[in-house]
Amino acid sequence: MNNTIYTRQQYLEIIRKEKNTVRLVQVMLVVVFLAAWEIAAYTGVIDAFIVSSPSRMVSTFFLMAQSDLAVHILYTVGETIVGFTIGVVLGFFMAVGLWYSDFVSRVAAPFLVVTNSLPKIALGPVIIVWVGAGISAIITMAVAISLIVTVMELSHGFYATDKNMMVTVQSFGADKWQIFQKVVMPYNIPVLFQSLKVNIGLSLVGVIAGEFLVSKAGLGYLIVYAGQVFKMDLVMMSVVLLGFIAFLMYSAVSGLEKLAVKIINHI
Amino acid sequence: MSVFLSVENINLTYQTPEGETQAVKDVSFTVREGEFISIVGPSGCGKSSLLSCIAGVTLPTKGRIMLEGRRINGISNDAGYMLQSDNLMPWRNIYKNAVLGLEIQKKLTDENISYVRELLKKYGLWEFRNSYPASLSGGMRQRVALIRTLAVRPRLLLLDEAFSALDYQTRVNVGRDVYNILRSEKQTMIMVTHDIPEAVSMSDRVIVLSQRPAVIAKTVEIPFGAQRDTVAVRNTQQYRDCYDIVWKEMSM
Repeated sequence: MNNTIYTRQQYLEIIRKEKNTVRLVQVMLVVVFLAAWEIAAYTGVIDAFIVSSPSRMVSTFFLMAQSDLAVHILYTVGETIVGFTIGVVLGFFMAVGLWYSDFVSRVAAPFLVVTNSLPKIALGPVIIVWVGAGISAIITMAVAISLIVTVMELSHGFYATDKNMMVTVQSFGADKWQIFQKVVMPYNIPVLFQSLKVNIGLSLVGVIAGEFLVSKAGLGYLIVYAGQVFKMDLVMMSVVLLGFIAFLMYSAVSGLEKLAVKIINHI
Repeated sequence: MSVFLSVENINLTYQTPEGETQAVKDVSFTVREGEFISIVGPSGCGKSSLLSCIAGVTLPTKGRIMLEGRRINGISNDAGYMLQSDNLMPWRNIYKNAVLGLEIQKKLTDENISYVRELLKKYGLWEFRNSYPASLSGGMRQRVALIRTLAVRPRLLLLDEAFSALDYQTRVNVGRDVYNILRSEKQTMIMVTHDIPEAVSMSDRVIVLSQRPAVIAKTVEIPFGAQRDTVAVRNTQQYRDCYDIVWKEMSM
């Protein structure tokens, strides 16, 4: 490609074309993949009973949509949002606490590392016994998975706050709470949203793991149930649906981030 | 004129798990009101530590610092402290940055606000009051930082390598701006720098510190008076003489 750009118009044109090409290739990849899958299943190269096929997934979707698919989606999304909110709020306050007291933070450090590396799903049976088999167990699982990550990520961000900015407000006599309010918090808005973006996905993981263990509704329930009765069309359709939901929730947080950064940070 | 600030036998020793480091040793000097003092010395000699003692951010191990007869023993609103680079908050507009100190000290009175407005107008920043720091030049940002410091009406201004993040040309111009603003606001200033031209052109007296532990190696009187052009003086023979004395002292 020629690297010399002559006019603004040409430059914008090149940018636009590149963007379109990327989009086109992405769409083509999906189309080719789905077509190959469909053809392979239709011609019997692969067994559609085991791996399903796009057309079977679509018809399953419409069939389910007439029955209770919406309820299952609502359960999963609702549990995720509740778990996400609790995890983020709790994690935020814990991170603030760790930032506020150096002593507490130093005492907590090894425990945080251990809790962070522990596979939270292993806590499943404990959670069920402690909070009961039901939605509360699912939400607890979502919180367990997202909480420590929030704490770690936020306190890392709080510690990395520009030292000179903090000394500047300190030289005006700011107390610790004012330092947090005037410098640390606004400085860490991007970090906060970064952790929100990771967490929305993690909460969904927690909810599905929870639904696998205990549930009467939700996409996780649907997947386990359909797997047991060998309805692979329903399993695959639910998985694809989960992908969509994850994407939509991520986009929502990401949109919120752009808005917040624009309003609060002016960067 | 009487003594405004007196630094008396300041010793500063830092304790770390590895051992103790004496940064400053028996430093004494006095400053008159309205005087501009520069402290220069080899890098790592403890000049910034000395300044943070005067600011009250660090407490000296031994000795005392008196400002207008009152002992400095902690951060007080008497000293305005400016650090390397402007440290403006990118999420606050220029006006909001300028009133940050007043906001923290809960002194957003009508009188103080109109003082800030007056300063912004006087130093060519009024029309940018709603802009954000990212859209201002380095020189303008430094002026905002200065107004932020002046807004709380400090008795004494302390500049710690305040211009060292700027490129050479901006630095020279900002130095002139800051000099003129501080003179017209009749401030007293102590600045720490490693830049000899800056020290000589901007102050009435240059204090040269030795290698760590810092002691006063020499004090050089600068003969330019208050009404000077900090850029133009750099072409005079007197400037070169002062420069040579400071340079020789620092190279020893």
